[in-house]
Amino acid sequence: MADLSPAGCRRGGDGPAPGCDGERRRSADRAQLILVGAFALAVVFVALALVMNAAIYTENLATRSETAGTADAQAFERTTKATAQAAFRYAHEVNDSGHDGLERNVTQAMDAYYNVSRVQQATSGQLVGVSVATTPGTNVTETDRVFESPGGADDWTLATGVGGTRSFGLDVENWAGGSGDELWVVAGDAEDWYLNVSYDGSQWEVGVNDSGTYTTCTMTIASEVTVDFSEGTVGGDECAALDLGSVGGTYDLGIRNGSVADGDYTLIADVEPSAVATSVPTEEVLYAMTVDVTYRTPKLQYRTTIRVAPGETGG
Amino acid sequence: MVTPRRPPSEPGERGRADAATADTRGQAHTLEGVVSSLILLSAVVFALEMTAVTPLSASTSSQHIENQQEATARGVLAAAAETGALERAVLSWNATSEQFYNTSRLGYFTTDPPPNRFGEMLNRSFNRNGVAYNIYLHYRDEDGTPDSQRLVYQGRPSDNAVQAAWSLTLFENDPLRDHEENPTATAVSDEPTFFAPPASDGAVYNVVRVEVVVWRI
Repeated sequence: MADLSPAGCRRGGDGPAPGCDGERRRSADRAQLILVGAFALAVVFVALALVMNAAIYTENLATRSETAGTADAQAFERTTKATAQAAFRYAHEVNDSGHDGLERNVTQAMDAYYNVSRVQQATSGQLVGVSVATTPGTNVTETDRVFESPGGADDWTLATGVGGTRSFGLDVENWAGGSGDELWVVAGDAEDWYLNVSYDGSQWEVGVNDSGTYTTCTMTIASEVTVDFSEGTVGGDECAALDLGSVGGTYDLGIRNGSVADGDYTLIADVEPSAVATSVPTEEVLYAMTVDVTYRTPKLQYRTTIRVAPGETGG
Repeated sequence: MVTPRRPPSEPGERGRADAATADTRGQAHTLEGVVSSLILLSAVVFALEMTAVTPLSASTSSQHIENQQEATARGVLAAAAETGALERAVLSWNATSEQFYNTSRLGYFTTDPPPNRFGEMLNRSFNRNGVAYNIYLHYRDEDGTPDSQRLVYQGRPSDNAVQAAWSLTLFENDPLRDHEENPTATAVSDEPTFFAPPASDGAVYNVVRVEVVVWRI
């Protein structure tokens, strides 16, 4: 250990200088304390280094890509949605054997997709589930005919117990009535909701009566007028009042004063063909398809429902 | 630590005083021992946490880059899937040579990306930045086991590689594409040389999981 005693008290040839004896004893004690202090400082420095290291490591952890893997769940949902839409389209393109055949077709397609992707997802540690449910529907399409019933009635009901429609369009091409006549498409009671089309010889007027409030959608000069109920447009222009979704519950869909005009109409309603007026051409289709998707990892449980109903309002 | 003060002693009491000083030093010795053991202990803890830092070792800065690469890879896949470029690239199958169009004899792309829209997207995202990537296509084999095919292979990924994957469902009536990505008259289910066999008898032909592995070089 180094001699830290003052120079004046160092051991000379003739013994210790007077008065240095007590000094040296105290200095010897202090040397050891300085050493202990140095040790303590060293410990503090090592501890500081550890704290610093931990801070850097924490930042590293914090900036790691999201550990729960929500982006992968989202990717799986999008893939499933694309597959469901393609399966729905495929079933209607290749299969015309009615509700059962269509349902079997989409269910088999989604099962096959599930069987393959289940294994692929499991290899990277995710458990997935896909289950399908379908809603039957009926496609009604008439072209180039007077909007009266097949039996020739002016006021008639096209379909009963309708809860929803998609790809619903009306083309009024030729006007046979007078300028005071009105063609109505009625949902439920005429007091609840109807669409009015009239023609004064030069100009079309399209308006909507919703629970007593009449809103004019458009006044247009054209050879014909096109109304898209699902998109909510008249001649391609948006009309906020044209919203069949505002009619709650199920309703009967009918036409009043059908003889005043002719043209085309098409719609897919969530009813069986038996609910549509007799002699109107119908085709069995699927109205909608819902796919329940679950996605599980040790850190994440994700569940969502995908709905496929092309051409539905807001869909 | 306070050294106990003693009253000045007579010369005759010197031996006793020395013994007393030696006694008081015991506390300091104990402290010295405790602190030095702490040093040893903390040095061991510090040494255990040490890792060699090389240019490729994971650090805060490289973590940011990895996050970016992963997000870019996922974005490229999502965009390509949305526009249909991914499906066209996977279906761009040359039935004569039984491999993807414009590939070398290996059957997959090595230095250049595939000469199609998906390849352009990859090129714009990665090739200019000194980044290498592999693309694997995972599908279901005839016997139901997972199998894979290389679409792009640029080498063995480093420890800092990141991956992103996107699944693609092929339907039995999806047409194969020619070298310009235009649909041909042949449906994927009518082409026995296509890399993935049918996974079911129904509408879904197979599900191809496109995996992109990206790393810095």
